[in-house]
Amino acid sequence: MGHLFQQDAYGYANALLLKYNFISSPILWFENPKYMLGLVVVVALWTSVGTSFLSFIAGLQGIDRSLYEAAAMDGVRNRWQELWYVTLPSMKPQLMFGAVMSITGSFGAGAIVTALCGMPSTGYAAHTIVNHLEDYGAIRYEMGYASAIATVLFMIMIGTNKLVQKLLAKVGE
Amino acid sequence: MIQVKLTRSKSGIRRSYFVDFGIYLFLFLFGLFMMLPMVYAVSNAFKPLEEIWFFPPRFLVNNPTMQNFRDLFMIMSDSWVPFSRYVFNTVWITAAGTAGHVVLASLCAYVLSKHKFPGKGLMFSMVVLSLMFSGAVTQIPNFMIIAKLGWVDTYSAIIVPAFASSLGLYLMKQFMDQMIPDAVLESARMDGASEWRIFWTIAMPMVKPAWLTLIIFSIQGLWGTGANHFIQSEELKTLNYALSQILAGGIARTGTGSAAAVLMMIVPIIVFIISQSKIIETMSASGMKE
Repeated sequence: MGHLFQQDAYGYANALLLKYNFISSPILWFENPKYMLGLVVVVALWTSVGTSFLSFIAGLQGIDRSLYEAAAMDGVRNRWQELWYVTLPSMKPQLMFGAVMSITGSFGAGAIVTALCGMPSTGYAAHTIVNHLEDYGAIRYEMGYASAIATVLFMIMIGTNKLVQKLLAKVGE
Repeated sequence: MIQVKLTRSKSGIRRSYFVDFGIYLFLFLFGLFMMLPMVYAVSNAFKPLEEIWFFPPRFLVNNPTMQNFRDLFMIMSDSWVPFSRYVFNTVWITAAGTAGHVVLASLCAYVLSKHKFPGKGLMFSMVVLSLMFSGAVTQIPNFMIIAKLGWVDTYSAIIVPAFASSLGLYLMKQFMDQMIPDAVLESARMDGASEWRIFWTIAMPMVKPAWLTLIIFSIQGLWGTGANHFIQSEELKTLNYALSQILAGGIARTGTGSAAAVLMMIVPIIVFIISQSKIIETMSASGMKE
């Protein structure tokens, strides 16, 4: 994985860009604050799709096929309406599961930053809440402050969770 | 692996072939993008060392070799603890943890989803909220609990907590909400089926896609169990831990490390393929709905 954006000319991205003369010297992908965060997002996406994806596939199997015929009878005309009025409402529980997983996964992202950019990342440009938590909890041993961070993070997650729940209730209306 | 069921003929909904093509193209490219790391890992495992550091770098292997795997087995054959011990540890942790987790999660989810009792809502929100703790926070209390139970440096320290992972319970509950109509349970109850029988012969088959998915999650998670602060004896350490030691050998071990990574990937992939084909089977076989 690390090879793709490796910092020297041996990384794939750099080799490609060098070869076609887009750049004249290799880019330090994970040291340059300009690229760090974006790349971490791409890699996080790369590794995170699996969980909700699998549950969505299984959820799609649970949809009653006859609903589609009934919907067609009732005047659903194109696939967007089918998606919005039949498919998505039928798999709301799985959507909620996927949402919760993504919320906890992305707010909890920290290890991936440490793995790619180091701890701390240059100029703290890719520092996440969890990195901050680890910084104060596991390096500086200021447990009180670290616990406060964890509590705030927990509150943010609950808030986001509630918000997504509200949004999901609107699906299919 | 993913079956696309075209309902064009049945439902009579207008679908343009142009949009169909666009969607397939998008999915194809997306799938390709998601597959890149895996293809890369596999092709790296077959690269001779000089090709791994070739310039300009090649994505795919040019002169495939088994040298990395040979090196891997050579390193493994003179490990301090017999290598089979690491394999056994991982297999045992994965099998026991997954079995316990699926059974416990299904039983709890069934009750939470299909029964009414005081405090149900509270219990369920506790489960969901427990998903939102970041792992770093629970580390110290976890260690204290395991230590008080006297489970430090035993398999139980990894296996038993895996039983109660809230992810599976939440997944099963969501699926049972969607897939099991109350009317079916009602009629089974009328016919005098016991609660256990309803759960085992009616509810569980209906949510087969759910627990097959859960098995994938659980095996994937437990198979990758690496260094663990509960385990200190070398005899109890896992395959992932043993293989990750190889990468600590530095740049010269890059190829061997890739070979190890591929070996670690194989089991979850096989499990995934088997259970996915089973999921699709159930889809075509089950017609029982309200």
